[in-house]
Amino acid sequence: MANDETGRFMRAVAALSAAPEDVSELGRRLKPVSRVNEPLLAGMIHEIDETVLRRNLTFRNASHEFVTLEVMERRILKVAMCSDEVCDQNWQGKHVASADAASIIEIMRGLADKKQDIYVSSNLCDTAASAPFEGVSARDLNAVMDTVLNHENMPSELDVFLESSKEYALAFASISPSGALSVWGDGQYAAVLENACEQNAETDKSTDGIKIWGSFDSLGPHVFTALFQGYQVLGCFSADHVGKCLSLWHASVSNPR
Amino acid sequence: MTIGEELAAFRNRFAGCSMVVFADLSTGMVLAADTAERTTQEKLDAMCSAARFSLLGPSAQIAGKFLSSDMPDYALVPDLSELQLFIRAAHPAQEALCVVAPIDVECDAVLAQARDLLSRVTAEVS
Repeated sequence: MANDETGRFMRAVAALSAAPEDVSELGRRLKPVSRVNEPLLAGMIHEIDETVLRRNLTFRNASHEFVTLEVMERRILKVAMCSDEVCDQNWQGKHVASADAASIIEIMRGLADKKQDIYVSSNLCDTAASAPFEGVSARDLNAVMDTVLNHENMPSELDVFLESSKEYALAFASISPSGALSVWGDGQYAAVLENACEQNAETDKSTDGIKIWGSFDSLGPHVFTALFQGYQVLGCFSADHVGKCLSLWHASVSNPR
Repeated sequence: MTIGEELAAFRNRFAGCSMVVFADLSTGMVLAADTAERTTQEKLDAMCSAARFSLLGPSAQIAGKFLSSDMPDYALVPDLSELQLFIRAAHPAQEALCVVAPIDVECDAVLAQARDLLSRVTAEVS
């Protein structure tokens, strides 16, 4: 490689590397992910999503509390080690499956909630690999994070309305003021609602309230949008339930007990 | 019957119905109205604007993706005590009916009769 090519290559590598001030003996300082409620937790999930080759990712804070996760193909295969403050020692060496996503999120939140910077280091694994198709994917973690955080922070009136709506609605998607999206219901509608909800959040700047749309052709579903304290919901329900939707909204949000 | 008489007859069929406005969505113009109490032109114009936004606005376009027609035929907007119903005339007519009724009004009946009324009066207008 000629000298000018080597120089260009080195500059490219330097541009991709972490800035020196972000690296310490604890590891590389995680960049918080903006637009979400828990940016450090989102940053940790982002690291997992970026890890393709098999590695032990250790997340630690300045108090030396840590969790080490064996990650491969963007999936957590195992909780390799953790400090007592972060998780129960029963988790040490435990292989995980997608059903453990909520528990893993709680462990990671235990570390991210301390109002301290989080550092990450990546090391080669010294144990035999388990099957890469098992484990908890970054996608599983994001889905849990969206659902949990959206639900936790949702105003109780809207939460009551949506919980009651599950009796008759086909599907709905909700988006929080910070952009956390969660989807419930029939997969056929849910996927379309997910996209439409994000699109609607960008365009609909109405005041709080609900709006129901329908067609005189009764074959199709009815659609509602609900806006409440910065949350936006887009949902579908069958044409028979217009009255039910209106009375539930009125009982839970317009006229809370 | 004149359009004004049609609107008055429609409003009197539903107890507590306070306003019926016949509007042109393409121009945003109020064509005729019948109200329980004296009202201002500004209020009628505001109702017409609300109808345009609810039936043709960006959210209505998104809602249309889920309906069997491209755009919704009607929109229902409740508040604490009242329900606003915006009903479009069948394509290609550009008119709509805006109805303000009590929150517990029988929606299906209002929608069905509004549709009938629109088909009659838009035929007369055209």
